[in-house]
Amino acid sequence: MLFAPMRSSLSASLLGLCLLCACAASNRARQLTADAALPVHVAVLPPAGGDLPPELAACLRAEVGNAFELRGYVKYDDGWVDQRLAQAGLRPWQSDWLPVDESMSAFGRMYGIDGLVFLEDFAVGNINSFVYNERSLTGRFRVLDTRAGRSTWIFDVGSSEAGGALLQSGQIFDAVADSLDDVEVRFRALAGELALAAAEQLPRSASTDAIGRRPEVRGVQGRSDAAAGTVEVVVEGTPDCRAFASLPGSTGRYPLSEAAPGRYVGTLAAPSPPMAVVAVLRDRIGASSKVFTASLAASASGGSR
Amino acid sequence: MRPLFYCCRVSCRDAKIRPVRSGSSRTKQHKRACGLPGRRVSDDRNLWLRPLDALWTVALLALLAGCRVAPTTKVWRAQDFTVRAGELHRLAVLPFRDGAPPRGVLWWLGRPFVWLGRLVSLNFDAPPPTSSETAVTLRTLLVARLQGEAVSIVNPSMVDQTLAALPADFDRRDHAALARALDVDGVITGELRAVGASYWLFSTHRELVGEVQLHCGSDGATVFTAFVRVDDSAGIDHGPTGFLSLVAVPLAALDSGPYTSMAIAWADEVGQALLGNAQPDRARARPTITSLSVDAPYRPLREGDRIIVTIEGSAGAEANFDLGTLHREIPMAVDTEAPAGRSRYRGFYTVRAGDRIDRAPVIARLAQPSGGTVSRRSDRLIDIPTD
Repeated sequence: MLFAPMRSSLSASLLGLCLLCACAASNRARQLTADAALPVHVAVLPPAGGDLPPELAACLRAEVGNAFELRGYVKYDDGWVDQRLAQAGLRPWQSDWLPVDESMSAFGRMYGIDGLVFLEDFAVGNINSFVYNERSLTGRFRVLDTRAGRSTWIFDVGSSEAGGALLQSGQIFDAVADSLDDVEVRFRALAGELALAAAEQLPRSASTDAIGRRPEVRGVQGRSDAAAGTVEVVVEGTPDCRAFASLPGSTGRYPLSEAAPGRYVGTLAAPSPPMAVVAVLRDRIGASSKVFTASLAASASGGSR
Repeated sequence: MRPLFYCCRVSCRDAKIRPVRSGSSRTKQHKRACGLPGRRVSDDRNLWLRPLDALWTVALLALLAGCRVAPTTKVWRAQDFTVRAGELHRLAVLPFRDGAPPRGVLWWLGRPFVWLGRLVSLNFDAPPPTSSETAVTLRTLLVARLQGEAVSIVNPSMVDQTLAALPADFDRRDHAALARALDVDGVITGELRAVGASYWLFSTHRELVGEVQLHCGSDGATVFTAFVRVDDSAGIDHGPTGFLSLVAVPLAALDSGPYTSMAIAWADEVGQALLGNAQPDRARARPTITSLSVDAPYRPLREGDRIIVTIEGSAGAEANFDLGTLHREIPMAVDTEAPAGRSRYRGFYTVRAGDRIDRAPVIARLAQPSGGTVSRRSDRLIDIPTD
């Protein structure tokens, strides 16, 4: 009987401690499976199966890819991977786009990707009541070894932060600022913290490559059609890249299509006949070529700079 | 009309205000004025309350601002230097130098008090990272922030591997030579200037300071510099506190803090300064897209077919569109034939051999030079089957 009040006060103290501990931001990266070494060359795929807004999904993907690079892995360029996914008939712009692992293994093998990193079931949580605020980003990432055809690494990852008047010791201005904070910015920060926590769990790659050769533009041809206000561009260079062309000084660049290996074609809008056209290639790991500027007057050759 | 904040605050705390029967003409007048049910405010008090209210508002805003992780940025860029999407720069981010001052004797002498403060304020957060760890984190976060369609950042592990293989007598201060060795258009160097906290009796100020420079690969000249300081604080400037917390919280804050968040804010600030509107800041005011139309033949598309995309929305923005994930950021131009008072942008894509896409939406995007961006997805889906 004498201990009853002590027990209740002890429970209250423990509850208080738990609440205060919860006040801090927390990150977790729990490894569920690791039954083989990670492939050195990996591609991080667009998130699937969650409810992330597109911008946050892109941010999370970039951060996780960066975590792999930080640990010495070679990451395929996101834009290159997305283009290949579309060309393979997949629909990565949908939230439930991911097919079965056999199909993805075949995709990886077809494009020479040893490891595919899936970002699965990522979801955001947001409670903003001033008294108690909580934001969280949780999900799972899984590495599929395309040569073995099975998942070799699975991580359960999450990042959260809590605040509000209840948890911030009456520091009312903290609680107000926390409640008014831009949610998108906070979620982006959580994505960064989550990726840093995941990077700590990844083993360092045993064989990091040195910097390889850049892709190369060998020639650019342009044919201006003044009546249509367009320029037809043909770029010759390293195959299996993404190619872009633009007019000097203009903002933005037009993507070209690889009509044949190493031959990229496309049509640019040109309100007035341009004097030159600029071309650049970007390969599968994101390395870009030197910018190649071709004079349209010569129409068949140009000089690089 | 009085500001809402002014009306509410005065009606709640002013003892001389006489309650007015609901439904009276003066109450109705007040309701019309500020949109809230309230009490009558005597007019003679308004004159001296206004400066006091302004003072309160300024103090409150200052305190609120003090509670946020706030960056201070000084940027210098060479004339004509800008990151253009058409000229895809390939950059290498070198390991950051740790230039933070070492911890002094006072730091070590203060340890017992800091631990006591942590115990009293129940602060069990992780201790702050060392300056060398912070330098590594800053580099990592900056690489993640810069990586994208506008610039090509070399894998930092590859950079380290290549740097390690350089001859011992290689002059690493020669940035042009470094750029040649790394086969890049430019090199980014960085230095951590300071990380840590300073104690001011009832308040502790944390700071993270770093500087970044971009050097041209052809001649080694510096074309861009950003000096960014991110501040944070803990203690009495964050609001009311008890006597114990008054002393314990600032002491505990010397040994803990949101340094990862501060590092992320630092990298965001540098990235925004370097890329400008090439990578819009999502936190700023957004433009709007009021309509999106996609004009293309109503059948599976084939080589030579043209997809014309038209959007209407905010004026003075840059517009582009994605074709699913096959091609991204296809530029759009201002439509000069739009009716007066409407801002219209138009772009097109001509289908080429090798293109393939399965029921993909067009995603149009507007980005304002100030940083805001918005996107909209079309209902119309595009189908380009294999040849």
